[in-house]
Amino acid sequence: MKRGWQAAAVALLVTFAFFIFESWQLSLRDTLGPGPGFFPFWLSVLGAVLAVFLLAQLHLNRVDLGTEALVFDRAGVRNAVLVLVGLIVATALLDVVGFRFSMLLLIPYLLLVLGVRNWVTVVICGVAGSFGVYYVFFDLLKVPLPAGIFGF
Amino acid sequence: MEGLQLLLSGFAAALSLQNLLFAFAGCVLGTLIGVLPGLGPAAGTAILIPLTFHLDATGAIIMLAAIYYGAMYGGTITSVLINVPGEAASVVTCLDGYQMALQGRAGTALGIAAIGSFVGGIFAAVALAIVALPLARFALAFGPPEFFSLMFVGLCLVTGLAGQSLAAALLMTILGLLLSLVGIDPVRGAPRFTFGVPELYDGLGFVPVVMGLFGVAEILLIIETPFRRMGDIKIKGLWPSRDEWKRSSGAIGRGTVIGFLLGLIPGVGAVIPTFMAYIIEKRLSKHPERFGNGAIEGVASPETANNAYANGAMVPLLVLGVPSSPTIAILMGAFIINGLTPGPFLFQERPDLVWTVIASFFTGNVILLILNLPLVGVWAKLLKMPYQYLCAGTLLFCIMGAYSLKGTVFDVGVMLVFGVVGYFLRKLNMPLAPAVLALVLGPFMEKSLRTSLEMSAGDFSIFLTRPISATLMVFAALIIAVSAFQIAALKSIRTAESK
Repeated sequence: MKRGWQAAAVALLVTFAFFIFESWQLSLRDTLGPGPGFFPFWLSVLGAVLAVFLLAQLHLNRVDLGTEALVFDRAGVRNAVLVLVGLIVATALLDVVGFRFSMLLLIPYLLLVLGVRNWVTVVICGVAGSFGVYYVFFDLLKVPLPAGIFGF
Repeated sequence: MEGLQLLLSGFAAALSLQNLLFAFAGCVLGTLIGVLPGLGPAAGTAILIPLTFHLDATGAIIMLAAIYYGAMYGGTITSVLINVPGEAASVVTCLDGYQMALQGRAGTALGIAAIGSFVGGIFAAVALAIVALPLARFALAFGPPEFFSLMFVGLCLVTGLAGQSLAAALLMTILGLLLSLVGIDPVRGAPRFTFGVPELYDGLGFVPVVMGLFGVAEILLIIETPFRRMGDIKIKGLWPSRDEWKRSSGAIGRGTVIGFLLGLIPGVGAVIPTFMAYIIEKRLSKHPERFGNGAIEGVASPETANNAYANGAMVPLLVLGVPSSPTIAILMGAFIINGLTPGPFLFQERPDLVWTVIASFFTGNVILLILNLPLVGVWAKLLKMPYQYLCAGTLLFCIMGAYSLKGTVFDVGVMLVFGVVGYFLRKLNMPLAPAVLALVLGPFMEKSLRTSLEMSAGDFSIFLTRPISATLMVFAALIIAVSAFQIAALKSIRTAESK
């Protein structure tokens, strides 16, 4: 757990350093008072100081992280990564092939990755989750969903 | 008297068929979300916001509020039947609720939870209706410095109560505030942190960020560690016996008061009232040894406190515009999406909406009682749903919700990025509540701060020379000092115990 917290503190430190740099480019103060960079600049400075303080506390074991260890279940993480990859691909395809076809690919893929092996169920869920959902939300409820470059 | 008149007109609108339907739909969806393990009220409310896009503002808020308190009750069902809390506030219900289920008293446990939730919710709604108008009138005297100090107190409370490290909680708050500043500067109109990406000129969408942090992250965690499914527990006899009534009535009364009062304090969260109600009941009991072995008071008091808290937490949101928990922050986001800013001015600008929403808390609680007593068996059947379908369905809803907000794939990408961020933060037990609250309060805080400094020609003492603002600032400093002391004390106790 300690390593994870240290990594998070470093990531936050880098983020705040970036925000300090970016807000410095904006005006901190002008004739009317505080400028657009004022609030983010001082927030980032405070954040960077706190991130360093947290790192020091972690180094000196001053943070009570409990006894729980940071555990990543290998098979579980593999599934989560596969799901994430599927989501990224489906998102990239949304505007190209439209909601119906991207979901028609995504839903069966998700079910198969998560261990569903009944093909009839997979197909039914795929059609219901793509064409069915599109009909209910786009056609009936008028929720904007992408049709894709082919228009269907 | 004026408050009563306004409430009656609110009832007239809340009892319209359309608004009753919205409250009913919200209660059903909320209970469904609460029943499904893993998906808490925050994730559920965030995921379901897009469903309300095409409703009028009143209908949307009524439905989302109903989703919120529906989810708070729904979590009880899983706690009692499979010993897995549907959301954090139901953790304590597992202790006695599951034991009651093992003894064949699952129906009674769910029955008393529904009745307690109803009593707690109705009492809190009455109290809200009484205090709302005077408090809102008082808050009308607030100028930008007072609002900044008030929001600062809210963030300090949430930060101070957020977990094992005050520094980590403050870091999360600052991160949330910084993310809220992406987009066009509200005072000067200059683009900030947009990198020439047109989609960022409107800022990071609150809904995609919250859907990612709560919805997608939650699903990734469920996929990594799937939850248990329900065994064959029979549900019969929802109505408690005379002896059980006798033991529960006091617990329900105390749970109501504890839940409502703690709901008024930003940052307390729903977990503390439920634990406090449980501990007090155990302390007051002549037979504390029954607790943990199926004591009905152990279900009645936390469940009542839970719902009284949910309704009580609406007071700081509606009256002061300060959300007290991530779910309430999401509700505030829904107000903003609908072009409304919660706070005292809303009572002047849209009294029709405010009082209809307040009246809907009464109708919603009645609907929940009707929905939960006879239909508890139906909800229990949902627990048999394999997690694979839950995950696929939720992710489908997340993609649809994030896209439909502005009709852009960019928001879906934002949601996925924050899903991964949320997954790691949750694995590390980093506090997410301060980040979400800061995300919603950030733009208001910055505007108040900069307007205050323009009023004082850049002099920060404006926050300490105005009485209300100064009092709030002193209070904020006290909160941080007390929190730091508590965390240090807790650590030294644990260190001593481990030695």
